[in-house]
Amino acid sequence: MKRLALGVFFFGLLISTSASAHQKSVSYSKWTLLDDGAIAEVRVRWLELTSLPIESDAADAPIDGTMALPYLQSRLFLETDAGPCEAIPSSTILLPAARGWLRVEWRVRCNSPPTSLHSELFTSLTNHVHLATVLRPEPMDVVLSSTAPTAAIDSARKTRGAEGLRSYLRLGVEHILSGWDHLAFLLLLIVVARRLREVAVLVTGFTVGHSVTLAAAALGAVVPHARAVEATIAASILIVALENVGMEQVRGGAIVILGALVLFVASAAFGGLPAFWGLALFTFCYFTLLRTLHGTGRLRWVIACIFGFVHGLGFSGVLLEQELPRAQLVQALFGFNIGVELGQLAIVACIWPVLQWLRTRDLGTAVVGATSFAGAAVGTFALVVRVFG
Amino acid sequence: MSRSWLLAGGMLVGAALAVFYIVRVPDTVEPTADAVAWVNDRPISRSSYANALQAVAGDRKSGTLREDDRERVLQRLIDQELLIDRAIELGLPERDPQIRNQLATAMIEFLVRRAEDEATAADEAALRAFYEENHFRFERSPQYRVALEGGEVPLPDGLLLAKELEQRLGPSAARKVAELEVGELAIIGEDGGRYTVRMLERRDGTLVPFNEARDAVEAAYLRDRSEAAVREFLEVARQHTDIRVEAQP
Repeated sequence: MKRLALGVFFFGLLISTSASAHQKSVSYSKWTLLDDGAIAEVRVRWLELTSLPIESDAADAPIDGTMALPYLQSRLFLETDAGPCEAIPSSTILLPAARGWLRVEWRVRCNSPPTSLHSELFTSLTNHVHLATVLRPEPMDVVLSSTAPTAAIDSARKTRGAEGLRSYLRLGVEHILSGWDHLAFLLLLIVVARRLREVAVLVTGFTVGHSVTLAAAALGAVVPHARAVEATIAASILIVALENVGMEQVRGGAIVILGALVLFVASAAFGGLPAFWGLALFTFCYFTLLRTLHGTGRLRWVIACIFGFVHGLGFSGVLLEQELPRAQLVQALFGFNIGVELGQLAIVACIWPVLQWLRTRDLGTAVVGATSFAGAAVGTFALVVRVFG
Repeated sequence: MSRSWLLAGGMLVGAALAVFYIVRVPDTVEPTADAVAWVNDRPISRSSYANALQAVAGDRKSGTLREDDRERVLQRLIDQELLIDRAIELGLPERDPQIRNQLATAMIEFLVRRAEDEATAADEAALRAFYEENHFRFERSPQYRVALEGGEVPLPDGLLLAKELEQRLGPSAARKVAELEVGELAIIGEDGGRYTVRMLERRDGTLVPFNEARDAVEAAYLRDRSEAAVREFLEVARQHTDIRVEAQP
């Protein structure tokens, strides 16, 4: 009963978040500072625009880019010591954009050099982040959110490297804290660890894995297939959840593992993701090896590292979206990765004492069972949504 | 032990297979010795630069370049790249009708040029086959010498091509005259404007021998191949493009 209650609790906790790909609510802008103002180029998702109370001229007609402009220009602006710079609506140009995005450019007039950038875009979305690059002419990155809607961009000051780094560090922390799939994987990894040393090994394995691929993808050494990455992340949750309860050893466990394999094969054959042929083979061999070695957990660091590679590719998406100039990439990557690590450590620091406390109350096994049940359910659900949804 | 290693190998193969499909190595622009400059990782080729220098030299009376011409031309090519970049960024190829027309024309010219290049390599046998299939295109037009009686239509005293006869007498009268044998008469027109045309001499159309018509055959062959290439491109493009017509024309 206790196990069931905990299971329902964790399941509810996880299922309340989106099972779709971990797409943070992000908008982007680039500001080219001129003598008398700036040129703003802004990218926002249509999905987020449609959530706004923007009314169309004709009933039932869909909103178009021009209707969203007053909102964007009034919520995103440069500021001088004398007040906000003024957008020039007649200068607005709708630019070609990727599917699902609105990309628009306008000029702003400032009476004196701008000192800060302010964003109140999509404040109703709790986790919305606005990433801006200000070209002064040397680039400077700022991350704006509802908790920090203003960033100083004083063009007279030259050294802003530390601020850009801080922005990305915060972005990294926010990214992992708002990424339920990364959190679920991390939780499932450490929930069976008995000693802090084991946690350190697992977290290090995960960190090494995701740092390598985050760097490789952000620096352009490899190009990730976004859908395959998101689906594999979901599969990683399912695999670790099955491993946590020693599914390969328990009676009837083979059928559950076979079910997972069937799902992977279906993803490859009918979901257009050939990567899952490899994942199915990997999973089959992994669980068979675990059964042979009679030791759940002996290969966990391998799993942490290997799936860390995939999670790192998932992390890279947010940096790649920003189309950073090459000169800024290393700084952004460094800050973002440190942010992800700090967020990760914060999570472990919060969860580990709770897990230890539950163990002292003889609830350790129940927690493992409940989290694994929830992890398997959510992993399967997310996988199906990401592959076939 | 061997079983464990086998399974570990299987894991490795599976992981490698998954990685192969999850990531790919990006396409890189190969550094080329042909570039004189790079703008946003796009090369300005040495041949474009040489052509531009040649054009500038051609504009000079002396036909030679001035000292600063090379630098100026290079900067102009870089400016051109920046302008093209910006035009693409603004979506001008999608929204400016003039650019769209120029692009469409340039594309047709490209297809025509490519088809002509391929057709130029055509051997004699292909040209002969084309000639045989299209005899009607290489026939000399029939010619007629006629005399007009009672009419006011000016007709020169000499052989007229069928087309010239048609221009002077009109299509139906020309058809009627073309059917006449030498010495025969045809009455043309009605009541007030009636006149008579007599056939004095006629030379029926004849097929021009291949050797004599070779240039014309080759020109027609190239034209046909070019038109076919454009047609073929559009047909294939239509088959592979999602085209939805929202309003009836």
